[in-house]
Amino acid sequence: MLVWKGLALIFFTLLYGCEGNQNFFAGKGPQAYEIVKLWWTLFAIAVFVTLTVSFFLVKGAIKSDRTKVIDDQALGKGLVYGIAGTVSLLLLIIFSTLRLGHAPSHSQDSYEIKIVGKMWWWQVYYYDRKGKYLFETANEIVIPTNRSVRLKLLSDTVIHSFWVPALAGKVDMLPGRENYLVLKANEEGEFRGQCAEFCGTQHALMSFYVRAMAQDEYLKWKTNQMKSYNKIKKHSLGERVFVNSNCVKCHTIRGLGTASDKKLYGPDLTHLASRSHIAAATYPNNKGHLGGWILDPQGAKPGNYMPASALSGKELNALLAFLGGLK
Amino acid sequence: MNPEEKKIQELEDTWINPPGFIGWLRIVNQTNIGIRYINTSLIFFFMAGILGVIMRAQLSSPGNEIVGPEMFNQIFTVHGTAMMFLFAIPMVEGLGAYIVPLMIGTRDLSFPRLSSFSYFVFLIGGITLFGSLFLKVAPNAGWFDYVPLALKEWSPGKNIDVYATVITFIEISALAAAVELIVTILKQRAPGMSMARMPVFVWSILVMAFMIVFAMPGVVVGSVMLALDRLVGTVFFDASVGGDSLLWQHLFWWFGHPEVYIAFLPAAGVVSTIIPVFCRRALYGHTAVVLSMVAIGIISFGLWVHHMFTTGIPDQANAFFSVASAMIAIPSGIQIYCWIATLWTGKPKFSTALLWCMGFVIVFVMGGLTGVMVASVPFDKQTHDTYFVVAHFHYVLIGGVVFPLFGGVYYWWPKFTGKLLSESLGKWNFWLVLIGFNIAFFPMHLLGFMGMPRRVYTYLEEMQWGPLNLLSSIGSYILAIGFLLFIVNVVWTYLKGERSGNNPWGAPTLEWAIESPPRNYKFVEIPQVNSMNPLWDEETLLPATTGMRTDRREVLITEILTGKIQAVEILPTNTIWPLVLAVATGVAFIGSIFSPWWFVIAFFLVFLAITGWFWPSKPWGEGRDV
Repeated sequence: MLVWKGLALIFFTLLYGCEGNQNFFAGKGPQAYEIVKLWWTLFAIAVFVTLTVSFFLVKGAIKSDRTKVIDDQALGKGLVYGIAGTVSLLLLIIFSTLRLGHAPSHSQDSYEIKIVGKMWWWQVYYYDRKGKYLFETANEIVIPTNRSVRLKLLSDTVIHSFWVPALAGKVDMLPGRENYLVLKANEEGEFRGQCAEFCGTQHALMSFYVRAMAQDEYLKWKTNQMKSYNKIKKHSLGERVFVNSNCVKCHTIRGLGTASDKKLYGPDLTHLASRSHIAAATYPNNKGHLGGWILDPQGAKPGNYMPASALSGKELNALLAFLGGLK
Repeated sequence: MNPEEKKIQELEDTWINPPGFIGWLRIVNQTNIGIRYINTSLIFFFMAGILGVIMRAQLSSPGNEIVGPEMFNQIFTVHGTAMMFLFAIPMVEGLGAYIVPLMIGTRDLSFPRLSSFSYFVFLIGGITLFGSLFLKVAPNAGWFDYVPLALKEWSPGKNIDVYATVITFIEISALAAAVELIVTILKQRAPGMSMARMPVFVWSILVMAFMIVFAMPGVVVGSVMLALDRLVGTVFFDASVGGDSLLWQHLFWWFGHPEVYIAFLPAAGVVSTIIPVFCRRALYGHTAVVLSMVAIGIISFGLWVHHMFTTGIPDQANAFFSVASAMIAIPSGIQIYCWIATLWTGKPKFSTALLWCMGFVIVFVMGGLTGVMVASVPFDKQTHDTYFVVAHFHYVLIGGVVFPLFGGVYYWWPKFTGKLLSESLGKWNFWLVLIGFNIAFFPMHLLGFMGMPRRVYTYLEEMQWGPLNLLSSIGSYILAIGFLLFIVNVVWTYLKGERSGNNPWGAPTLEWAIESPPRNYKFVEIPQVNSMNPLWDEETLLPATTGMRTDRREVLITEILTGKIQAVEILPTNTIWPLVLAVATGVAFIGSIFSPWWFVIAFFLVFLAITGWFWPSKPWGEGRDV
């Protein structure tokens, strides 16, 4: 019994004491919030049933009074009550579940953001409300607060699953199929998400952030993201390293160079410095981590498709300075 | 020598197991095959368990580097594949193959050579899987092996070919065992054992066997398509050229969900067998329990989409499968009620076997309730593919299958060996497992709530998953020690165990009417059955017939519903051909990992083996074996 008490204590401390940044009890979006409410119904039923069954099981096993004969007819009555109880609890669950049937319909085609699951990162495309393509980014999805944003979810590799627990349930990304998800955040903040369907070697660290901003900030962000890189007349060393070494094979910086390898295509880096994290939300975006990542990506995330770069200290510093300026 | 002794001597000679290693390979006797199945699957259980402990060690703290991602992916895939395909299915089949014929009062399974074949195929499959792990080319796309990750483009190595091969082995062996068990149960019951008098355990094996027959074709088709996609470039699953990545999931889960109940139903049958014995009363609600099992068997085929709620299947379809999934709680609840009612009105004696069953009820109820939770579509969208689900299915599979099976092993051990497992060691075994299990798996529910996806080889410190993972790992070590005590118990019993006699528990079913361990012919005379609990209701069992021949392997064939005698069937004797055929099959499938041509070569080998198998020999028993 002590074990259970201890566990219950840990349980409640966890749910309320710390809001882990991927905890679905955060409930920052309407869909996630409804599910938290549903959970409490389910939890109450589960506790009730477990206690009832355990009580009767243990009592039935250890009770000392065995002289009173209980005939099969009385037991039969009990069985009928038991079935009736089970059925009504199930109906309760089914109805509280069906009440939440507001998943996005598949008939609409309009969407603002298209997300493609890659190995092992997230390619993000923005569109305006008329469906015109605006720009590409990666691993960080910015949405305005208090407004429903429709996402189109695809994959051109293997099956991934798009999941931001604080905002909504997960939706798979399947090659050859289109799925949709409506995201809505009730408040500003950064919400972590992660791939939920096993997708190979680096599935564990295929994560991302959804950042919710006030509408005006969101528009500012969007306008900035649409800008291409302004080439300086005489190439800086950092630019030259980017264009002349392996980087540009897989990474695009709009206005400077376009990725040529369509299979090993990597994240668009046009506004790399505006993101808070690198390597699919694995490390904070600062000079130290970025430098370490460029020199030895395989040490950090074994099996990913980015090869190590042999750069001199001077070249690396110039490259980092250049990348750090990509606001 | 009096006539009775002469008869027994003749039976001994007719049913003899050939000596020596080659002889061992030729044995077709059902108790030998059954015990091989049980031993082998228990060994695979412990090996897969070690893999589980390695995974827990890797995850005990963030950023651990005990195993890298590639090895971790192979380990969790082999852990899952082995537990489902090499432990759960073969273990219940083995228990069925051993216990069922004794329980229904016959001398052997209907197709003795087929059971030998199915065992060897299973063995080759299991060795292939674990061998591949040592060679570091083990399957690495999870036990449900989703495409397109499992297609050539994304998994160019041999890993997935090994997977396709291994599950093909298990499909063949499971189908063979299922057919065998169905025919044996329907046609070889002792005279007088009508359907209504059939023990619950036999019912559970019957339902399980039918489920295998209906469920396996899904994964047979799936694995053949997968092998063809990989081997010769058909594009069943390749969406970029018109295939469908979701098709695999439908085919796999059509099998994969009933599979859970294929393992669970016999385990529930074990519980329904053990509880009445130790409560000294007949099972309350025999009919209700049997109907519940049949209902579970049927409903379980309408649940598979609940593994796919997040794939974008339309809401209406999801709702149907959601309700069907919740419905399974009703027959499960009925069984639990009947077990509690039996305990309540009986006089329970707390043997280790009964403890396992009681632990099972509580743990299984908890796992069942989280099952009802994830049957709810919106809730599943949050918890699907997280550690919440990992917790859920370990509660259901360890609590619902492993606990009762260990209870069953404790219960039937005297029948297998003639010796009683130590009760005090057994209780340590049980309590350590129960405590370790809960410490290992309860925190996983919470990790799921905190957003930890399953199948991750590592996680970042900032996720705050560290402490609960450490707790869970500690629990898994306790769990492992608990299971090790079982091995200690087996060794101790082998050395010093107490002799059990024929019926140590005072149980009512026919397997306890004969010697422990049973002779190869099991019953000197096939008994006449007049009630559901023959050993409780009758002083001595009367023979149903006289004059069955002792110079050949004869069994009685009875009518399906009523159990009236219909005929005498003569069974084949020991032979090497099942092994030869199993090896030929092995050449075909293992060879196909490397080249499709092996299939052609093996075709001729299989042809030879089958020719040998069916070569007309003297009428059975005219020439006695050895």
